[in-house]
Amino acid sequence: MVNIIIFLTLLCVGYFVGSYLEKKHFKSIIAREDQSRDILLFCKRYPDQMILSSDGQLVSGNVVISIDYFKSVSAGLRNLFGGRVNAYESLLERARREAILRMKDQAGKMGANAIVNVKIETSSINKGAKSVGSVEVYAYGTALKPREVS
Amino acid sequence: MTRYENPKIPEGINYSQNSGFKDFFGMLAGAVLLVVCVVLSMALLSRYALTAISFEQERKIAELVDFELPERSEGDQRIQQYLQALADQLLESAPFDYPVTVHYVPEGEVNAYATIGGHIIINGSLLSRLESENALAMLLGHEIAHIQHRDPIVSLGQGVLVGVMLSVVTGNESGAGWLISSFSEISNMAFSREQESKADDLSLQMLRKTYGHVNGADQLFVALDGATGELLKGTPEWLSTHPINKHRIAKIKAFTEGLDSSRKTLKPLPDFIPSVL
Repeated sequence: MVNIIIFLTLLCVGYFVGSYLEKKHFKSIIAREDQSRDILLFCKRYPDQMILSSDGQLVSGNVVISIDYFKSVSAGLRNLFGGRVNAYESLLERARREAILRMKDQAGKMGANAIVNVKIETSSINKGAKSVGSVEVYAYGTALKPREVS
Repeated sequence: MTRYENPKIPEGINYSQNSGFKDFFGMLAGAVLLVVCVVLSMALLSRYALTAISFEQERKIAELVDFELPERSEGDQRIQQYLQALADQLLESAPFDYPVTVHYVPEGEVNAYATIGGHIIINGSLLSRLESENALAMLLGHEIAHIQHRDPIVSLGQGVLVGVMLSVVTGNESGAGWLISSFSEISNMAFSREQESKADDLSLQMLRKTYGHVNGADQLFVALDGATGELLKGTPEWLSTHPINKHRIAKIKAFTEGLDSSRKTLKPLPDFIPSVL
C-alpha cells in the first residue's frame, strides 16, 4: 500500500514536472535557434571556397539530460511491446539541439559565421544494472571565422 | 556561388508532441492483461500439474526440507500432543484423508500456517490469544482444509512459475519491472484469498460435524484482528493475501444463521495450556 503511494507520487511528480520542464526547454531551444540562424552549419568538410578565406577553430557543445521517472516507466513498458519509444525520442531531440546551440554559442562568441564538419556523438550515462538514467550529447565541428581583409 | 541558409525546420518530425499519457495508459492496460494471463495460466498449470503428484510423493519432497524446530520443553510437547489429537479428531470429518502433522512453536509472531507434506505450524503467540477449543479447532480446521485442498504445493508451484515467467519478461529493476511484479502480486493475492475463503468454508463444516455447532469460531478472527497492527488494518482487501477479518466473521455469522446453536456451549481449552504459555 505504502509502495503504491510512493510509486504513484513519483510517477505524478515525474510526469508533471518532467513535461513542464520539457515544454520550457523546447520553447527556449526554438527561441535560441531563431537568434543563431545566421551561423551556418555544414556536415561537409570543405563547403565551396568559404574555407579558403576563413580561419578555422574547433568548437564544441556538450549536454547531459536526465530522464524523469514517468519517462523511464513508460520506456520500460515500451520494452515489452516494442514500437517508437516516444519518451526517449523527445529526450534525445532536446539534447541534440541543445548541444548544437551551445556549440553555435561558442562559435558566435569568436565571431564565426559558419561551422563545418559538424559531428554529433551520443552516449548514455549509468548503463549499469538499472535502466538508462541520462544521455550525453556532444556536438563538435570546425568554426570558420572570416579572415579580415587588410 | 551557392547560397546557403539555416531554414526553420517544422517541429514534431523527430519526436512526438503528445504528452505520452495516452500512450502510457495503453501500455499499462496491455501490461495488466499480460500479467493476468500469465498468472492465470500458471495458476491453472500448477493446479493441474502439481495435484497430479500424489500426497505421498509430496510428503517425500517435504522430507528433503529440514524443519529445524527448537528443542521443546515437556509442557510444549504436551501442547503438541493435544494439538495433534485435536487435528486427528477434526480430520475424521474431512472429505479427504491426507494425514497432517502438527508442530507447536512456542515463539514467533501471531501466526499459523500449513506447508507442503501436510505439516501445520502453530505459534504459541496465536494459541495464547484463543479463548476456547472451538476457536482453536477453527484454526486447525482451516489449516487442515488447506492441506486437503493441496493449497501449499499449488501455491509453491505457482509462485515459482510466475516468478520465472516474469523475470524473463521484465528482467530489470526499473519502475516498469516493479510495476509488472506488483500486478502479478495483486493477481496472486486474489487466488490466495480464494484459497483462504474455501479453507474457511471447509473448516466450518468440519467444526459443525465435530461439535454440532460453529459457535466460537469467529473468536479466531477477533483474535487475529486484535493482533494486526494499526497500519495494516487500513489495507484494502484487494491488497491482502487473506480476506479481511470483518468479512470472515460475517461469513461465520451467516453460516450460523441456519443452525440452532443458541444453547450450545463452548469447550474450554485444557487447563495445562495457560500454565505452559
